[in-house]
Amino acid sequence: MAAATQAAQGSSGARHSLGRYGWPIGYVVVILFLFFLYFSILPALVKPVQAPVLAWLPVATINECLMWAIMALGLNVVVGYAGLLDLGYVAFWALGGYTAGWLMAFPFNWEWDFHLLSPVKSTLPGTHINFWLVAIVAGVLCAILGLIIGAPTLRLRGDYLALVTLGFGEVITQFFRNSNDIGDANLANGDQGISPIDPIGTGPLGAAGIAPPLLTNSAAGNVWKILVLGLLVGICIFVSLRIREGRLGRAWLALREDELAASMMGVPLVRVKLLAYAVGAFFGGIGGVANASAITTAVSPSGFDFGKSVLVLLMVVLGGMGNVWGVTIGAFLLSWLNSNGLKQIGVQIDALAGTNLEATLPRYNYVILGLLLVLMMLFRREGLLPESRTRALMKMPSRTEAESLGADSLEAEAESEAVEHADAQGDARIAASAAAMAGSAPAAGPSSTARREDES
Amino acid sequence: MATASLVVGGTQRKARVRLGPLVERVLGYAVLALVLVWLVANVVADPDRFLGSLLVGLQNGLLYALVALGYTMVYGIVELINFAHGDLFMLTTIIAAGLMVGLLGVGQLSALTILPLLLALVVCMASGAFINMAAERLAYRKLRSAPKLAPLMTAVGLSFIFRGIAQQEYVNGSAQKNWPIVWGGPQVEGVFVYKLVMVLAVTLPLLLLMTWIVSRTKMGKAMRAVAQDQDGARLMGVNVNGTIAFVFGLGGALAGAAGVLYFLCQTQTYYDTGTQLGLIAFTSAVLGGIGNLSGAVIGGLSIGIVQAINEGGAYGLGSNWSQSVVFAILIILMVFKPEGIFGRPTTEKV
Amino acid sequence: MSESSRGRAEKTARETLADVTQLGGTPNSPDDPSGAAGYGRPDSAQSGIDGTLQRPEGTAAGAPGVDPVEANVLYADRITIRFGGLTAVDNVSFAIPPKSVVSLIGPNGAGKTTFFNVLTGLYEATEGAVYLEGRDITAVKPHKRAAMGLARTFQNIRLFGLMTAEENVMVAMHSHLRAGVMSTIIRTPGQRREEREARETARELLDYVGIGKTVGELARNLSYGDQRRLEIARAMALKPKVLLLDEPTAGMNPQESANFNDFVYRVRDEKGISVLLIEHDMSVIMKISERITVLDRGAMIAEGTPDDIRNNQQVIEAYLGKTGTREGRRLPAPGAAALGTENGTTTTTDGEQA
Repeated sequence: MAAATQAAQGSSGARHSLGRYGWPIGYVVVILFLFFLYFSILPALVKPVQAPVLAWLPVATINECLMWAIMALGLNVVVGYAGLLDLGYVAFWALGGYTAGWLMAFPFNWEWDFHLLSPVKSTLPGTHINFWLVAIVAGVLCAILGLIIGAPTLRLRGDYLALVTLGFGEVITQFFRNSNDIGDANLANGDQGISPIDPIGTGPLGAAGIAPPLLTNSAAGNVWKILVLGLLVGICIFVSLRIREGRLGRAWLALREDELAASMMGVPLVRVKLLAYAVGAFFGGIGGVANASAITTAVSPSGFDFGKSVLVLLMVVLGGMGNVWGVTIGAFLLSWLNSNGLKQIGVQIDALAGTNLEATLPRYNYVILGLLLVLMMLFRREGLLPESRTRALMKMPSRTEAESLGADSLEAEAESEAVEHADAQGDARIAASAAAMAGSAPAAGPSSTARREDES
Repeated sequence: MATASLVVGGTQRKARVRLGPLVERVLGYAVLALVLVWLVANVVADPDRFLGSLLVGLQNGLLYALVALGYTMVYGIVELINFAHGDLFMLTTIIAAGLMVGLLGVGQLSALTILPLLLALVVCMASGAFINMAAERLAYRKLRSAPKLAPLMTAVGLSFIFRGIAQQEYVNGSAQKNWPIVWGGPQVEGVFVYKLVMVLAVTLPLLLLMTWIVSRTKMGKAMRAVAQDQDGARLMGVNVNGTIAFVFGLGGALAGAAGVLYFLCQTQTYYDTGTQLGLIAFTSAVLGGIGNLSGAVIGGLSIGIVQAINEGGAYGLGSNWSQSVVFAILIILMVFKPEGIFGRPTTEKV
Repeated sequence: MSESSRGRAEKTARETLADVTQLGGTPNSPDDPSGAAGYGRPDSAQSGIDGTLQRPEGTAAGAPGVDPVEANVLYADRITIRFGGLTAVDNVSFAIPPKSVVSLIGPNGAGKTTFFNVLTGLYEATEGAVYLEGRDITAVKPHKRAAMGLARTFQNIRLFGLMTAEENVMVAMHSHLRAGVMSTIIRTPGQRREEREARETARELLDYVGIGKTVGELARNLSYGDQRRLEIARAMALKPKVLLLDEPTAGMNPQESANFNDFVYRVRDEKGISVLLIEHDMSVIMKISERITVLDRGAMIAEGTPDDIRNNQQVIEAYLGKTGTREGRRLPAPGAAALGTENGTTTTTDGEQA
């Protein structure tokens, strides 16, 4: 963390535009506060104070928010930094979750036993590998998937890219749904999914008795999950910020703004775009494992749908594309709304108006989110905490395709058409200056006078 | 590689022929040949099933064509992929269900059903047109000059809203809903003849109507003008806003018609139908050349037939993999030939 | 050749149902979505070397026995660019010697920008080759050419407006920096040093072009003149061997033009970079160019020193004596009749006869 603070002072040119990035200390404080809130503070408070806090912010919701934050940060790399519109992010979620299913569960039909630094009892059958190792493996696998998804889409522009990535998301989900019968092999148990998935172990802390040895869905386990997930989110933020400062981050920004100019300045578009997918996917893989192990303790195809991809995108857009803090806050806000907030708001309104919104309001979550998205696009496209560039980028009128490809292409096109639509005036001007050249000694004076005379 | 040597300033240099376009053309023909071989293999292996699949494909393909027309027209005129179009179609299936079964009590289908069918067509086409035009007026119009991300996200938001509404219990619920519609009459390889007749009887006149509108009427000319050059058309006195609204309305109406037909053929409604079918319909539009109306029809039929044979033919992967197959087609198109069958690289006027 | 192109024109002129129901443009091939390079794609089917080589007087091939590819830092060998039935550039050879200032001029429609785009790699030539320092870069992608030392500026300024001046310059250093993703994340000493040096180099370049004070400012907030300089600084960050400047003095007043002239000399002499100017401003061209190449209607009509060009009859005619262009009749380029490339009419691929 000290290094990160140094980073804040070290990069002079970038500081002004990166907003509040130089506060890793602040982030650590927030996470620790949250942890202690549920660990020691709340239980010590009296019921009338404790109850509403727990109603509005149950621990489970906090953990969900953190997990969504990981996903949103991953998508932020792809959409916010590199400007590549990815509507199929759920694919990485799924692959991450299933990696956990393959490496951290009882077999569904596999017949080996393999334990590696796993906190579960060593007598359990199946594959059980330590959570952190699995997270890395999932990240790598997802990065590879990201490359596979990115490769055919490199030359596609905005809307087509969105649709193709959406299609990928659907196909991956369909793959897992059919996974119990792929060429007569059961790869991932199809619709049933894989469960239960090993919980996260606490190693030395658990052995010392401070924390429960396995972070299951118990009250104590859930509180400690805050720390684990908070750490993961912190890592994602840290990595995002670091990459952003370096040459890859600059390349992404340039790419987002003007692909053609970037490539003419030596930026290898293919590699840079693929890296964006890979890095974003890596985060997705980590989030997928965290989700499978800590939040849902199972993985099944029904948990991954197009709606989730859009929700993550909404978080990135709402929070402010490109700004890690905005995106994190956006993720917190929307996932809270989705899982608990609507219900609570319903409860409040019920108390006031005697309706039954507590049950019905949450069912309108997609409608409300969709409405939110539409309203945001109409009235505040740049999001809550936009990065300064995003605000400007979203207000600019859209370049036509020809513009964004190069006035040069336009120029050449114009040239070819010039045979029919010769610019007589322009020619006359040039001719005049050429005539001046032909007729007199070369000097800046006569030709510019000739030019000025022509123009008046 | 054809080369020729020329002596230049005392040394030899070779001038080269470019291979790229040639290779792509060969690849394209190879893919086409593979598809044909697969089709023939299916015919030979089990001609009866092939016939059945062909008929199903024809039936579905026409529906896809109707929805694809909506995508392609809107894209042609405002360069927007209307993500919510499939979900609009889904809403009209629910309206059709509610009207025909809920209100009119249609059950066992007979010749008398023509009247409720016509009524449903009118209502659903009108609803589809209305919803689409409302969306354009309230949301898309303001975003016409915004960066492309904005109308795209708005369409996604609308898609969410439509799906969310459909998921409510009083609308359709989260599960697939089956309706007590019973078909009768002769069947060919498991395909109800009357279903096919109905689909043909509704879609063909609609398609002819579309062709007539676009190629012969003043509005059609306005559509083409606005599609090519909005500002120019405005300067020529064309009511650009009205034309765009009209196109959205047409697309919505066609989706409404498709909704009625789909409901009657499948006898079920599901909130997720729109997303799935939307992807298929969009692929059809791209296959035919986006912006091109006849292309959308050809594309729809092609995809419909391919999908049907995949699901029902002797050498198919089965319905579990249909989406992946269609999507694979989309990817290949996007990467190698995004202008589709009928698209031509035309220069964009700025 | 003319028959087949006429035949193609007829085919595209006949309207099919597909044409009638075409609404708007279609997205074009992935590597050229603007469609600008087509009018269809460059005809490889039609290419092939035909006839003898026609060479206008005083070409850059230089002395016999000297290989122009090795002798020049940039050499374009018989570049021809055809779009559909239209020949935009016809058999143009072009050389940029090391440490020199050369110019490319011509009236509107001469094909300058098209040719320029072939040099930078944006377009693929139908025939011909491009060599950079003796290496064949005809098939090399633009970003690789940039990394190899071919830098350019844009006629309509294309800075990364939302990045600072310093960042703009540093983007161009991408290909010269080594840091990978992992070393960036953990900030190895090597990466930190590299970034520090890159920042210093960026500032030096900004000073060199005279906008050292704007280091931290967003590029879009700079004045027009400063933006032009930033473009050049950014291009120079590529450590180029040759710098292609596309209409760099557009919008400059005489004082600024004079400063610009000095600057070009400094770049050539102090940095050893060859400069190619594409310009309309004759005063600048005549003043600083060592050699000038003149294009007209896709063909090279003259090449030589400023004095040669000033007195060249064909050049003067090209600029002053264009007639009948309304009807779209292309006057035959010199020697074209012998090659048999004369087209009576030009055709765009919409099928319209020009």
